[in-house]
Amino acid sequence: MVNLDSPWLCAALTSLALSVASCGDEAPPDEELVEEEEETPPEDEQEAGPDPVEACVGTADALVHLGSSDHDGSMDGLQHLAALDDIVYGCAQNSGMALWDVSNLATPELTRGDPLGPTATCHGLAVDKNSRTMAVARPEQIELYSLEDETTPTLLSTHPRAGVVDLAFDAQGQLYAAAEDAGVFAYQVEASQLAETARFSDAQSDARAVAVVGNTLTVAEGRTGVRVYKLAGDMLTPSSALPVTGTAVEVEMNGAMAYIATLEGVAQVDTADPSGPRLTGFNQSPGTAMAMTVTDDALWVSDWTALRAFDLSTMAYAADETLVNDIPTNLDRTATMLEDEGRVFVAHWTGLRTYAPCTPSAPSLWPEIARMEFNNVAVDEPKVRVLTLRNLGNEPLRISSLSTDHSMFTVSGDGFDIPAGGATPIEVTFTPANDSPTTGNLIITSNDPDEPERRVTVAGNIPRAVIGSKVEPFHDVDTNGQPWRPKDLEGKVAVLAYFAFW
Amino acid sequence: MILGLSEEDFVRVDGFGQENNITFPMLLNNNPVNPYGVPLDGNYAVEVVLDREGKVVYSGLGSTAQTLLPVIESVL
Repeated sequence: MVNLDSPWLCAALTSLALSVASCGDEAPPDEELVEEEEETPPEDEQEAGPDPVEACVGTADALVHLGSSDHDGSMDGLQHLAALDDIVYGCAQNSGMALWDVSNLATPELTRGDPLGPTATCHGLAVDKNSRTMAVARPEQIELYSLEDETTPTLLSTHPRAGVVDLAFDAQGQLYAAAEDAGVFAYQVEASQLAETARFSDAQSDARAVAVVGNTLTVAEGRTGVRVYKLAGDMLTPSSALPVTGTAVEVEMNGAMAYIATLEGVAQVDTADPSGPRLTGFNQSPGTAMAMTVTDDALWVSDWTALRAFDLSTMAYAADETLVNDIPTNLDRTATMLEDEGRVFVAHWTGLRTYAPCTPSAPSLWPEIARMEFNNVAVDEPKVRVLTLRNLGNEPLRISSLSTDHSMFTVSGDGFDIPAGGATPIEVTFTPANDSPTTGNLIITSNDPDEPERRVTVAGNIPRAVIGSKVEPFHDVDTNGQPWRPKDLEGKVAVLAYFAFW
Repeated sequence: MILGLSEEDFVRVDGFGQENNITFPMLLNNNPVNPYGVPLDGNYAVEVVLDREGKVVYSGLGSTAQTLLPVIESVL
């Protein structure tokens, strides 16, 4: 049966030899769903505007992008990270283990691939800094590596255990493994060897991810929710499962507080009493929440196309960072993040990015939406919409000019200041000269040192699928060259998947 | 964790689509303004689900199997 937890991906599609579909580096729009036609979509359904990476927003730290190491098709499905000193270890589902030298965060350098070769498979990875040992989950076994020389992992031992998808060490160097339907396992590590049998296992757990703090093991259990185990000697005493909204796929700890990514949002669970974990908060994510890391007072959540920060104490949404400015590639399918000694590493589909928390020191422009739509506007009947410009920096922001690059769109005002933390609305007018779909750009120039010219897409009379209405006539060719029209689908349920590449 | 970026996770190839006689044309459309108002950017597919009468029951960008399956099952 279908794995409902798994995103339906361009990557999955292309893996089916539908190689004409591009998974390139164009910036993905944030807009997730268009479910029904609206004359003027509410602003909260519009594409979210990018936050400036240099502004520290609200109570959560923002991140500054420092560098990238992209590997195009040579690395596929990077989804686990760990760090030791200036080496970051990555685990890619379809291309194995990898090492980056991050001594210079501006230029992370891939220095070593998987010792088993570029087609090796890696499902999980964890590093114990105390013993300088790394555990790697392969499809059929767990491998232990010595990191005495952190640049050259040396295989110490292997242990048969199939299906492991996540690993974690505790402070004593014991290893915990999540193996989905096979359950959760705890292993003694002695003399660089895993004990032959697990000192504890729970085959009832649908363990997707594990995290351990002190004597508490927290397990994300897919659709079951969250289960917490109290560690005492060789015994792990499980709590009852705590249901959460969505499917629990990842867990991140901050003291006794557990944060659970559920594909639909992030649940906050108090594990101070392991026998009775309490759900203390839930914040729905705009996208598919699947990876997290903690930096000081912020919980960073990856929801596929963006990083979003939540205030750790309140779980309030604090910032949205979509990496604009001079960053050459987008945040594409981010599957894991790691905070390590003040550095933040983000793995997107084929590469690694390095970040650091920021300190605000300048004006910073943030248009509240990145795309403004005017729909169903009649010819020569202008329609006005309001766009709010915010200054997220800590110095006054000077808007020196406002203009558009399309004559059907006009904008009012220029030459005004927005105080630090302030906001000013501007009016954008669409006056269609015909019924054709029209797109252009609103161009804002300011003294924002990071992006003195900011563009907001403006679009008019863009057709939309109307839920409940007949599909619009089409005559398109599929990836195999076969033409399709609506009549070809009569009497059938159909899923049309539209691709673009250019 | 495994994100399930494998073939069996794709509803078309694990038997779900075949068992239920669902048609999955992968249509090329290089116009960024596609007929469904969702901007194609080369990264994600736009998915449109049609019922047996040819009516749109869903459209979205980069949809997940988690999102699509309940929709599909509701019109089977």
